[in-house]
Amino acid sequence: MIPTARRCGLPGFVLALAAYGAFAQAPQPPVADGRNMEPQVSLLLDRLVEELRAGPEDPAPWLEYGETLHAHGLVTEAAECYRTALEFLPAGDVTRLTARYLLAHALRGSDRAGAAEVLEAAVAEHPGYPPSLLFLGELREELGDRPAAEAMYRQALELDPGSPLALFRLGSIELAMGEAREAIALLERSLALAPDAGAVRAALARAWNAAGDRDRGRDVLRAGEGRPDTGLPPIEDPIHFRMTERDISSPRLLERARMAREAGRLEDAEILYRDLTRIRSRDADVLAEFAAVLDQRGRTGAAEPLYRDAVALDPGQALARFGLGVLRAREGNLPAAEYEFRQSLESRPDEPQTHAALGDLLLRQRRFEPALAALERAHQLDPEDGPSRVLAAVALAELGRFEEAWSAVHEAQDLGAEVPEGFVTALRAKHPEPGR
Amino acid sequence: MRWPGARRLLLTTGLGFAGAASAAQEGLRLEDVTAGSGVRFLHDPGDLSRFPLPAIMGSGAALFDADGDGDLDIYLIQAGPLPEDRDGIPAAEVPGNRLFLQQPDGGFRDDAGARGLFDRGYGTGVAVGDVNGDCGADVFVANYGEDALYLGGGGAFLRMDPAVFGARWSSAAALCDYDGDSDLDLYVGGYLVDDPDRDCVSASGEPDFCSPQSLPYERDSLFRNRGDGTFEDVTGEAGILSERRPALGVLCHDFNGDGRPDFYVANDGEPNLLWEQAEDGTFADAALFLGVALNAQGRSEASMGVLLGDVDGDADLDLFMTHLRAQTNTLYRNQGGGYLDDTPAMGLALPSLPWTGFGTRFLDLEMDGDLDLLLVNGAVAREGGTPAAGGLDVYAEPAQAFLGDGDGRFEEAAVEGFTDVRSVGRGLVTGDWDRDGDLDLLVTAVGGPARLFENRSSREGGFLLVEPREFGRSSPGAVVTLELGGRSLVRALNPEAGYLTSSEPVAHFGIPSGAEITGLSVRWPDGVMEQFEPPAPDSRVLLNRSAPPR
Repeated sequence: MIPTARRCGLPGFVLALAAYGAFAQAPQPPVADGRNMEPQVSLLLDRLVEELRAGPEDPAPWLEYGETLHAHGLVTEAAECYRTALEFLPAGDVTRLTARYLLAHALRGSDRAGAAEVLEAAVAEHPGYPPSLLFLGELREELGDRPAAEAMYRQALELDPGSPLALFRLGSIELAMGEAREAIALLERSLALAPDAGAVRAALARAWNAAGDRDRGRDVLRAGEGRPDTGLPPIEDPIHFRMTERDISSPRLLERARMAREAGRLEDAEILYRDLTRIRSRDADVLAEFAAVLDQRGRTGAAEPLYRDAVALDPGQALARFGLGVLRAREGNLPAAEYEFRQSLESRPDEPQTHAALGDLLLRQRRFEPALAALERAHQLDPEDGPSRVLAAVALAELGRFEEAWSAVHEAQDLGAEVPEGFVTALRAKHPEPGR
Repeated sequence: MRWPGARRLLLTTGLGFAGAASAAQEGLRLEDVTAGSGVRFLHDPGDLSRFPLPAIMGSGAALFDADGDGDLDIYLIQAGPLPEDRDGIPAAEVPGNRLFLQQPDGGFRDDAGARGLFDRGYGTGVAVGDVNGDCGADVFVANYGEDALYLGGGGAFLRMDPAVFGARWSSAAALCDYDGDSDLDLYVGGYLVDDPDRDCVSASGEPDFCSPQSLPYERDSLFRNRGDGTFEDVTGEAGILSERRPALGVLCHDFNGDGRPDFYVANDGEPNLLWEQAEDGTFADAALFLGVALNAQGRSEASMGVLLGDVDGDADLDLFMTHLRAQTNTLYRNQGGGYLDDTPAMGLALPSLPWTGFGTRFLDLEMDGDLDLLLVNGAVAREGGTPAAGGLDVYAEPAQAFLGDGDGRFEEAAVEGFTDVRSVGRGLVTGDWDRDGDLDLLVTAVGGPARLFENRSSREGGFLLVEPREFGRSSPGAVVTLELGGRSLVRALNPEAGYLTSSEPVAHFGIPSGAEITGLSVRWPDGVMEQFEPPAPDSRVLLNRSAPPR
């Protein structure tokens, strides 16, 4: 190099050095330990790393790699990738907003001040995206700067006056700053737009309390009883969705599918389980759970083959056995149903619903003693199951054990279960109702 | 169907950072005196190879006078093999809880089960109080499994194992007289219904402990004392069955000042509960209404250790809780009629971000009249790294200390001997076991030794230890106010505060140098106020209630 520089003079030397410097500074992608990851994930990571090494100045694969790492909890490595992507994204490119937003999320758990700085830069460059203002406001609030947070929330609301989240955030901060009346006005608007957002309802109740009207606050909470609770208002935030919807590994996908199922969001659950079965086509648990969702949606024709596949893969798959039992019972094939329920109990002997279903079945077949045994076991395992007490009452009455039948009726009533009036009348005719 | 619910993968987050002041705070010293104390106890969480959730939640401890000789003894809760692993293990080989009796020379001697407190359940929490009115300590042990009540008397403890307590995964417990009939009732937090066959993974796919949201929730229980130390389950009639959330912390206190004790329940990942007692003895949740269910952003948090203390010097009690890494701990400032999550303004937010907080206590470490804050940390999910076979090193975290200024601001401080130690910290118990006027500590850790810390901080001012008593026993739920000229220092008597522990039932005050004690009063749990003669500083006083009940 030096002889060239002497021939070309100083500028050439500098250029040579610069070229050397650029080569030496090619960013290296962080390499994640993929030994415990699902095969398709570690393969994807390997592919992305190769792409990055081949073209280290292309921001798109840096972003994709970062998001993949982020989805798997490797936030430090993800942050590194987002920073690198930012280095290569030209000024004014809207993808810079995405990269900064994702970077702020990656930093949030460990460095809120750093996350806020990143978002400040994002807002400065792209001031028209309300979710980044709301996110920045949250961070400012968490850093103890309420006035700065308030300013962010107001800006977000100006851009999107119909945002229940912006209204909630601003209302909450007004409440924290002692402006209960202003908070009430904002929170009422938010609740009107997002009536299932329990956090908004709670904040509004608190605001009424702070304003001295506890009764009004209690009314607000009472109005929410029986409603589903979504927690916070919905986030109208494509970048957030991009980040949270990136499920390329089945543990997370399975988690989300199960959460959707537990929350009763069966349509979402069906979509998620369908995706899962592509990754885990021979996982008996996944097949059985998918079948159960379809079953709950009334699509028993689609559910049954999945139950069967699950049992073929794992004869002890208790949920699949239970599901098949229910299907057989509905068809009136009681012996087959009983067989399936008993198979289910072999694997999961302490599942109260299976005992209850078996008891129900045996009751229908007028096999009262074994029905009662199954129902008593269901009660032991789940003392708060009212309907199984009703069935137990019927079995006891059929066995002539009327006092015990009445006890079971009363227990069922205490648990809020409906006891058929006809049965109560018939029981009363056999034996007077004891005093309570 | 009530099949196991969704798995939620605990996300590991960024690297932690040191956070604490680099140089130890001058004059503050908590010396680990375990080695020479006679206390030899190693917590055994059981087989960790399958990452069973009960194992990482840890166990608590208690400081109380077990043998009636006037000094504090140590009771350490053991776990041992998980219940599902105990088949084939002879009962005698299952480790049990340990009682260490303080000796005249200040050391401790292992009672080795002689007094009958050798509970062999998979232990979680503990509550201590006189439930049968015989002026002796009785002990309730919460287990993952069958809970147990031990009645003390004549130097021994007899296990009363009434079916009423049942078998479930119990966590925190609080003894207090909620119904105003002069005996101590019992609130037991229910955590989860575990599924030992559930395998969970971290976000990156590595085996790890499950998240509580992946399991069904257990119910809490309220037991009313019949007056003779026997209890009846009144959970249903009290209205507490209406909610099932995973409880980890319980406080008994009259939150709304109506003279009827209420219960605050810290729930793991779900909105906290504040059971406000109505005139008819039933309870309704007011946590959302009062602003102590969620954090300022409207989100539920992990909620493990829970405390009451007047951190801002306005003579009302504020509420503090410890949370997971990447969540900040939360301090709800009492605004009179409601609370405000003011954690960032108080300096308690950012320093707590890298750690998972558990056991915690307020105490006046500087002996300047202001409350300071200690807490022990320890992870529940790993962030990279692979533990050695069955090892817990990747879950170890440092303890923290925060010094309060009395106006609601805290600053993290290094305390020699305490904050430089890493462990999977769980229980933190306070008590003046060496009777020198300051509060000492007992700390438990998952899979680690119990550690005894003697407070050897230098001090200029004086102290006062107050033990309010009514009906011949200590009075959990009482609030003690000390007047120092124009300044009021308020202390709540909640031995159950913290995480799974029972601390010495005393109100401790540091008296700044030159300050004069001008007044002393107690607000008893039934709301009755009683004034007492101002005592001399540097003393321990027993305040016996003479005011009639409400």
